[in-house]
Amino acid sequence: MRFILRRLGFYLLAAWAALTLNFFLPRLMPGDPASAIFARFRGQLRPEALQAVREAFGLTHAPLISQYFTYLGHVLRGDFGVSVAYFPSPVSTIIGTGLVWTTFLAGTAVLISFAIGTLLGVVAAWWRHGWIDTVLPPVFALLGAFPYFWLAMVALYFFGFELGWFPLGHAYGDDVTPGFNLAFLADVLRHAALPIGTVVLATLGGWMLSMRNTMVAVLGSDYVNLARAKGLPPSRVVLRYAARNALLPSVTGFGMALGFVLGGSLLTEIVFSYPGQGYLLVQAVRSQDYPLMQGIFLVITLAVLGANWLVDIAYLWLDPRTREAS
Amino acid sequence: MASPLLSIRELCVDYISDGGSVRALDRVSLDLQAGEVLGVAGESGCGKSTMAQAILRILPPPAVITGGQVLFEGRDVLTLTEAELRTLRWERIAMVFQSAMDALNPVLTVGEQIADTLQAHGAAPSTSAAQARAVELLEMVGLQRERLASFPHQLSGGMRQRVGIAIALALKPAVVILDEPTTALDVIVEREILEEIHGLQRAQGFAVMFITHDLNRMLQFSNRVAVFYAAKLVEVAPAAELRSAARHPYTQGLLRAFPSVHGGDVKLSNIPGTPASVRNPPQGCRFHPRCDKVMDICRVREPELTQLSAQHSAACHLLTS
Amino acid sequence: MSVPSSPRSTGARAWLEAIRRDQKAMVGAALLTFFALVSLVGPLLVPDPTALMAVPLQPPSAAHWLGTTGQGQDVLAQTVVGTRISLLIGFGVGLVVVLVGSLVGVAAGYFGGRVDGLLSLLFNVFLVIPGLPLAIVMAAYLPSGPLTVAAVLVFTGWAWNARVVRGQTLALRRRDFVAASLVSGESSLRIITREILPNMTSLLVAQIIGSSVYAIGALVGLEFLGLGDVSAVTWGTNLYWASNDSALLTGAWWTYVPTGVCVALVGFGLVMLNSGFDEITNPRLQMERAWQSYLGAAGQPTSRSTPVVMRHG
Repeated sequence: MRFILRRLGFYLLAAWAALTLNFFLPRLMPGDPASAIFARFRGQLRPEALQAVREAFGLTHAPLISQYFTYLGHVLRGDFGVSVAYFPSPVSTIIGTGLVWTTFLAGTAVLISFAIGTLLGVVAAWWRHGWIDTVLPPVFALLGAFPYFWLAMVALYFFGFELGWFPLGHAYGDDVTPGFNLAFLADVLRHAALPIGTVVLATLGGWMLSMRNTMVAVLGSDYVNLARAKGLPPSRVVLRYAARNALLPSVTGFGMALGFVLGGSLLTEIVFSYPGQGYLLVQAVRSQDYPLMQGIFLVITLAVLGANWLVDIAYLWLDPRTREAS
Repeated sequence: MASPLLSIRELCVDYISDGGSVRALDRVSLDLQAGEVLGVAGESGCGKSTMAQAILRILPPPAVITGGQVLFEGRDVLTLTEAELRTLRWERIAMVFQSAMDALNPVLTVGEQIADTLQAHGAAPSTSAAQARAVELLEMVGLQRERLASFPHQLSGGMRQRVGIAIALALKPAVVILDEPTTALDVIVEREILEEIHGLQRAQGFAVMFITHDLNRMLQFSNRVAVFYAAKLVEVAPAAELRSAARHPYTQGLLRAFPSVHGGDVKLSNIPGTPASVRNPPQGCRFHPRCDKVMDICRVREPELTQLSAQHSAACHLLTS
Repeated sequence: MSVPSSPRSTGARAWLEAIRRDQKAMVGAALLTFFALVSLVGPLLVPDPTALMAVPLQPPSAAHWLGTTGQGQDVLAQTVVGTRISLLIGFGVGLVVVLVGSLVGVAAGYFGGRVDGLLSLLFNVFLVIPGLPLAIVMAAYLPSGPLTVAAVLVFTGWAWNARVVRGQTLALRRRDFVAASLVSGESSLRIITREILPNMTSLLVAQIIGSSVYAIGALVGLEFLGLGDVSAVTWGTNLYWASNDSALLTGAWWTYVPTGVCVALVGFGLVMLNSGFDEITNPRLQMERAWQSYLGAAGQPTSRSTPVVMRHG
């Protein structure tokens, strides 16, 4: 229990660090971001609107410290300011829609990739030097060396453009009505197949290799040796003795890898015009919509931190050694 | 003498590596009688653990058994298939590992680890039967039944070793191999555990192969003792006879280095030099560079085991000259 | 059959030997040498990549081996010229990441106590904050260009190396030879530079290679988003322009496939090289191979139990 609280404390600290970073970034930039926005929207924004943007940004003439606390106050209330490109829509509204799609895309991809990769790793380690162990790791190493978004481009071209098996972008077509109906859900899956498939292919190798290496080490340990000596059936030795223990370091690494995979999946969204956070982010960058950019960054960070915390809780359940209260 | 329960004949084990192979066991022959306690002594790396694991064929890579026979209940273990080995392991021959601390699965409870042994060999028709037997075993080794639900990390070293013993005895094997069972424990716990084992052995009648580098402990608890040096068996004799009338210079050196607490004052000495490298053993008798009674022939020819009496043999040129 | 093994050579020759002995490392070395050559002499052999010289969006032909871009530029020229800058920045960032990370990692591992606590907290926070979104936001605020991208990548990438190096430092610090040096009164700096760092060479080399792989990939990603200098010719900006010119939707695969393949081959080559070097640091892998081939020669399948190959008696 103390473990969970300690980890929560750490994540809160990290969240605070991200917030503070977010606060200082615009102020470190050469020039005044508010003026940049003004220059960009020259003539299109009335002075009152500009003032609203300034305030939402926290760029008032108040001393830095009070600006900082105002900013923190805003964030804690869920107020990330007003978007510049979609003025006067608040950032939180715009992000809200994208969040669902990103969570769906990245979440599904990561879970599938982790599950399959870990399984393959167990198999590769058990049948050491078999074909799975010798062929797949270099193949996946090569696949993983391609930038995710490039794989996305190729997949889109080949399966979407040439073969026409999958749609060319977006989360669902114009011909279905959103809602919990079968047609819609099926359409969503069709649209998600390529993006998810790309991310899975690109990240599979990493999980597989790390699980396989850990398994090889565990298979040489004393307790596995004893399990074999005891005459246990091979399936039990592999699963309950070896894999169960090898899973632990994999899960530890999962949390960290999450942020990394998320980054890649954001870029993938762009290629597929998938209406998630990544797509929004790049639009924000292109239109210099700083409030939106920062809002997205914060939301993504908080999501990753939250997911990490959940992984830590899962680890608690997996490893009895961490459950000790005393 | 009755025919032995376990008969190791001319066993050879090699470790394969990039630069060639290393002979870890060189034509070792040893018998184990039913119900006896055979101590196996020697310095680290001399091959005793290798032999123990070779009997069950659980040596990890890069080990390969390259010669000999291991005869047990009418079969040669070295010719058995995987399935046959699984009926041999644990049901007939069991083992207590060195440092049972690491030999227990950290994510399973003690109860689960005893129970799966029983269930894997069909010794428990149901989970409740397995539970009941597990409790029986725990109490047999002096642990409380509440420990069924404990995880290994919640137990002390001594307790974990007891669990290891309980697991080994679960299927009532004919032979129990103890590979340095108490090395990692403190002296008091060590003694308790050994007496526990001794008691169980007397009550249940299984044979024990007791491997340790602590000669005194071994002499206390064993019927016969075998001494290894550099992958070879150099002397075997009944315990009392070994203590009073050891014939191999290495054994004599060992005894001088481990004086008995109960004996009279003895000058403490150790054997000069370093243990022979198994990778590049000396020519001739492997002990000759450290022997104070070395002769010319020792440098050239390896001595064979000479029978000195019904139960005592040693491999030394002194005995044949 | 006992053959005394020759003492393993150390230093640079050991690296070269390791490469020669391992197939994977050979492949890696070959790939990297190829790209090094391309980046050195390639630009001299191809036409000006920025020149609008032909009909746009031409598929590969004899005149233009890799076709033309959406603006009529030669794709081969762009790819070749882009190699130099991309590799330079990529390796540069990789090196700096290891430099910064190792500094922090060694300090944390060696000095322990509160210094360790603070530094560990620092890099753990950096590790858990998602790197790419942060990099994107930072790069958007700073003036665009290679320096910005490099700085941003270093800022978001140093933490992993710090963590690994700290782990290794801790392990080394506990070893006897360090204790001996401490007792004999050597200064911390001397211990670090003379005892600890030299024993981490293989780790540092592996880290530099790994960081470079990360850097090149992340660099390409940021440039793809338009955060680098879009007027420069690099792999990433090539992809940026390809997607800008709707290459995807017009089926002009030749505008982005070559670049992606180059990035992948370099990354793959580096990873292969690293696995070859792993042999030096992990003798157990070699040993397993020897055992495998011994059994193979004797016609024995690998089984779970200790195999029996009768050679004597």
